[in-house]
Amino acid sequence: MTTDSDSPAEASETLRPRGSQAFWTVVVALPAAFSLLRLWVEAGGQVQTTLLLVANVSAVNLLAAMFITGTRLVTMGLVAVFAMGGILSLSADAAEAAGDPSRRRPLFARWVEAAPLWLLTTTFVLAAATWQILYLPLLVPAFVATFQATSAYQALHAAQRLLAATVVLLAYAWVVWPTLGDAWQQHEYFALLMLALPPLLALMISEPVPTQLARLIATTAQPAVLALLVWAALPVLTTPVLPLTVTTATSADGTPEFIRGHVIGSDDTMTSILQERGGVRYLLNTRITARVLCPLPEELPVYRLRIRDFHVEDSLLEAVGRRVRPVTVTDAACRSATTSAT
Amino acid sequence: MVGFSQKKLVAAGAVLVLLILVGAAAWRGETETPDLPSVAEKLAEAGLDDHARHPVLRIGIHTERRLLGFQENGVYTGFDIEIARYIAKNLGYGDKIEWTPIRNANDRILFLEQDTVDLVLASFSITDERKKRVRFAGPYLITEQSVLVSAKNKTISSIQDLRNLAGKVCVAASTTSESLLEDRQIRPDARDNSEVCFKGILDGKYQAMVAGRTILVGFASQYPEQVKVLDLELGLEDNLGIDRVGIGVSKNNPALQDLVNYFLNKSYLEQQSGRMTEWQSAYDRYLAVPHGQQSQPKPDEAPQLLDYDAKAPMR
Repeated sequence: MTTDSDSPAEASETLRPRGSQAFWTVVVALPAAFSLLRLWVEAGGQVQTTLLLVANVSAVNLLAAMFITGTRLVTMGLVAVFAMGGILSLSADAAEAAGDPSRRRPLFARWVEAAPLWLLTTTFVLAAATWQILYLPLLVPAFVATFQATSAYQALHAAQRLLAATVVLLAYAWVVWPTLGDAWQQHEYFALLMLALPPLLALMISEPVPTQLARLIATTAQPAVLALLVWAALPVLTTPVLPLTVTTATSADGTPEFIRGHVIGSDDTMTSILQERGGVRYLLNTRITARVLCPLPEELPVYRLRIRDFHVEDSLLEAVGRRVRPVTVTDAACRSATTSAT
Repeated sequence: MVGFSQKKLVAAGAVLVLLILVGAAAWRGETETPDLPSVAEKLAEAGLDDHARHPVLRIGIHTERRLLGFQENGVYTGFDIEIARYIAKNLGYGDKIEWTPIRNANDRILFLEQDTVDLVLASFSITDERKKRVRFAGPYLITEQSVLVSAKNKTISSIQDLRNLAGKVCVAASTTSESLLEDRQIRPDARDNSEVCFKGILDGKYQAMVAGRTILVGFASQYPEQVKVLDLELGLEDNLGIDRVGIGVSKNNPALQDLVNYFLNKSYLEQQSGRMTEWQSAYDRYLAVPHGQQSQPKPDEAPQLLDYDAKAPMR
């Protein structure tokens, strides 16, 4: 492996500390900045409402919400980087062996080679737990591409690799077989390809790719991953930070009013609610008689496909959670799309 | 430059296909919309999503039929009432129900046509004739035509006995019971509703009345000493006398029919999977003893809609 510096000793003294500072800046500051951007969107772009949210939403809650919705995004970025890095690393080795080394070893290849095994493993475990089940098959070739750059993989004999691949593929086929039939019947060809193709492709990518393609990937990979991350970050940016509720407030004459929105906070006398369609309502606590939690229309699935009764648009974590609390109750108050009084 | 080996080309192809697949996944993940209509969309189509404009669900019911639809001191009880509450809750109306009393059989169709009510749950049997004027969801109950007589009566035990009682057999006009009696060549006195007939039995004006068994067992439960329901087969080969009781919906509101069918079917499927349903607890509470054990019938239509429980475990 080559580095930017002239000698390894110098690299450890000068680059590592700077790299570590940059790393922590990114790890702490980026989610914080991203969370604030989310609050801005959540507030409907209104400065005063944003300030109210900032004053009421605690940093810990915000980061926790960020972690819950952002894990998928972060692991996606890392898996993409590692997988491409693995492919590029293998190809760079092949090019070097053939006496045609590239001027600099590709960035992603250096990253995956430098990444400790625990980071790679944690990334894949988190991805497996938080990605939608429909996209989990992509992890199989990504796993092979990433780990073929590690010494642990290279130490395996070809026969051992073949045996492992056969066992994994057979188990995979047994798990998804009924769903493939359902997808065919429902004319969901994209889902069919997504479930069937990636594990087969995994068998083919443990070879170096032609040098030209490797160079093309190396030059386009960084902007491509960035674009993918921005594209995937958009829905995360608009995911609400506060849960959606319908609050029943009863007026002095007993008429109930149903207010649909996100509860920002409450003090001894007042509760502030950010209404779903915009605007903040302050309600006297004594007027509030009931409150229910409501789902969002965005939570409705697109597919009617299940893998062994796990819905393909759930993550494994969500699917297991649904088995712990199998009943989904949608309160009557959630069905009305508007804030209303009777 | 290194020559392209076959393996390298395969690997290159695999990588390209993967990249295309990832791109397609990213694109579809953002832009894909469900094929199925959602419950929320159907509610909007049915005009029931905006409670500011449609603040209460108006339901036509009987108010004098014990076990089915009964009102006492402003409290509504009965099997039909419980099913109506189940539907209202699922349509997002909870307790926001306006109960509209149905006084005679014809009102059930008229109220729907005149948009006085949104739904009718009043022993409303599904027939082809009625389907020309209203829509039906369900059935949510299967019952049969039966005969109710005074407890002292020992003379009526056959169809022929009923034929001999011209004018002394009472039936509610415009009901499936009336047409069954016509088919049986029994000439009844057709009155506004079954309550009038029942009063006539108590007063001694009529000797027998014919109606759905659920209605009759309700009357009998009210006056167990004075009346009894006979085990008399009224059905014919071409008119079995089986009533498939449904929920009436206006002809102009197919979305509401879909919604009601969807929630009835949901309850049916839950029962099939062995879970206790609101249908079953309502039936057990009101009808299981006098009408006999029954489970929820399968609705004729089961529209597929998307709801928030679409990802819930199925087993």
